[in-house]
Amino acid sequence: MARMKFLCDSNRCIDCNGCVTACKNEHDVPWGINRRRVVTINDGRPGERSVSMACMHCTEAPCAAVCPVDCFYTTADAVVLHSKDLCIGCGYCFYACPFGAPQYPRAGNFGSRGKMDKCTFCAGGPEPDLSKAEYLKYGRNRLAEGRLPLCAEMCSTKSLLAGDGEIIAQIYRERVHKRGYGAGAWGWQVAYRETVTT
Amino acid sequence: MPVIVAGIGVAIVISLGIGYLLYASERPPVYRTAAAPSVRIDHPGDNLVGPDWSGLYKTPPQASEERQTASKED
Amino acid sequence: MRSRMAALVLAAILTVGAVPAMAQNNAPSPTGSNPTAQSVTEQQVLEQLGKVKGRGAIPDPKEAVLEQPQGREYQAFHERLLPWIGGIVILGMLIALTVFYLVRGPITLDERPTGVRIKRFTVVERLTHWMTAASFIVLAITGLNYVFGKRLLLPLLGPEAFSVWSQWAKLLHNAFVWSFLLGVLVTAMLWLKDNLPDRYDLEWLREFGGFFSHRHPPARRFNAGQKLVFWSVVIGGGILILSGIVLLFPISSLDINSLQTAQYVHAVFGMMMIAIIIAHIYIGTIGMEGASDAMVSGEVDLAWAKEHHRLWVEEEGARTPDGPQLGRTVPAE
Repeated sequence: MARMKFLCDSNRCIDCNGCVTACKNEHDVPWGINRRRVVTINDGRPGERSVSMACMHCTEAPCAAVCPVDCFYTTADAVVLHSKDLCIGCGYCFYACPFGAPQYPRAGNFGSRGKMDKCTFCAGGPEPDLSKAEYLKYGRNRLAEGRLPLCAEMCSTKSLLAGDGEIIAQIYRERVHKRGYGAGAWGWQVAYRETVTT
Repeated sequence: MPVIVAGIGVAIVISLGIGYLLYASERPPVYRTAAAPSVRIDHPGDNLVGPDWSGLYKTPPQASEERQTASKED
Repeated sequence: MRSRMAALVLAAILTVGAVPAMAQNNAPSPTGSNPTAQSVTEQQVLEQLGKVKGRGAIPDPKEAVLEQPQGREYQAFHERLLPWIGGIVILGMLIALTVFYLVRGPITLDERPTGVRIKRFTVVERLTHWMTAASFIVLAITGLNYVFGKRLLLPLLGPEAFSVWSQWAKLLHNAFVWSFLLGVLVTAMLWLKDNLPDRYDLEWLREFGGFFSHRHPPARRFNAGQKLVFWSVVIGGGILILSGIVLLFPISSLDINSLQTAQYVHAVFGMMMIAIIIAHIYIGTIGMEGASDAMVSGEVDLAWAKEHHRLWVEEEGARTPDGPQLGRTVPAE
């Protein structure tokens, strides 16, 4: 079985936000919810680096572990999803997520954040695959159609890779070897407890 | 015994009362609270100089944008 | 301070130029140049600053944090450490109280009741106590649901029913803060003076209240044990309220790490307070004969008062906020 992961090659990311736009458009994400975002370190200075970040679908996902109502589940592809019906909007998953993936639709004072929303690896949610209910709540289910996440598909420089962890690690390794340098797979140590050795 | 019931009653009245007031108060969506002034999220179709190119931006009506946000919230 | 130091270190490293080249694993590039040689690597930033922050197109500053590995620490605290702390502290207290009850039994009145009843607590004091107590019970149960609910209740209720219960538990927990806050403030105002340490407290504590020695060390209106409970409620409860309010208004703290810290404090103090109050409930109900009378009816037998709070009767005239009720009696012994 595939073990799905994201890898953002920060040497190639140009902060175009194509991934962000693709995700927002494809899943009809409401304003204010940022399933995917691009963060730029040392913006405008020599040594600027941009990384595209959404849910990393971690091994032993911290969000799933701390949820007081256990609304998370992991699919056979190791995609971490959750049920908005069970979610109580307590915010613990946001405290636990090392990458800030959980998003809440309301401004959150007095514990009224609303139901958590996050990147689903384009794999929908617990509703029946490709149903309207699933689309309304979780967005499009591309994995059920046999496709890969749209953010990686739309990346203009192919810095964002999504798919089976072994395959994308190999792609990255080959790139680093060919061009001679590589900043490493950002977030992999914290998310998957392993790095890509090049 | 009556003072115990009274104490519980006072606790319930105060807490549920204040709780209801806070909960029923306006909870704006996050794109209102977490938006910088340069990011104006409403009324596409009016450009920054206003609909009649006067340079004055009018506050847009509330109704049209609330209709659009249906499904992913809550 | 740390960020200034980090900036200095980073500047030194970039000047020397050695670390960026070493930190990026690479064969010599085909053109001989690495255009991103000056960029930081994830390892560097995490080592120096603890988390990775940058700048993004989103105005919310929380979204500019790329990576905060402290989330994994939060996971370890909340899922491994905290249930153990809670289990040990609360179950430990229950077991200790059970053993105490079986070995020592309830503390009974040695003298015979005189039949003369004196006032121990006024209506205001009792009303405040029960309002605070009711609020605390609701807060404790709904608070424990966050930690133990999915372990104990979820298998019984099933996911949908448990989610509905947890949603209500969250709302109740957020609501009953306010009556608890009012209760703690009024309690502090009413009883602060009577709970200041005095010269009889050390002796009372040394004899463990006379629970095992079957003696009755003298005490004023409140003995040292009661003073410990008072200060636990005022200080512990105050800390719980403050940390809870930080968590209740996450907009106010823009930093994810301060929210995590507030949660650590809130959870640990919550567990400790629950254990202390369990002991308080024990001694106030089955643990001591005549104690519950004081807080329910407000009156106690004169013999009970002389036995457990001798100086309150003899030197203070069994004073309540309404004033002394007895004349200053000559010490009998």
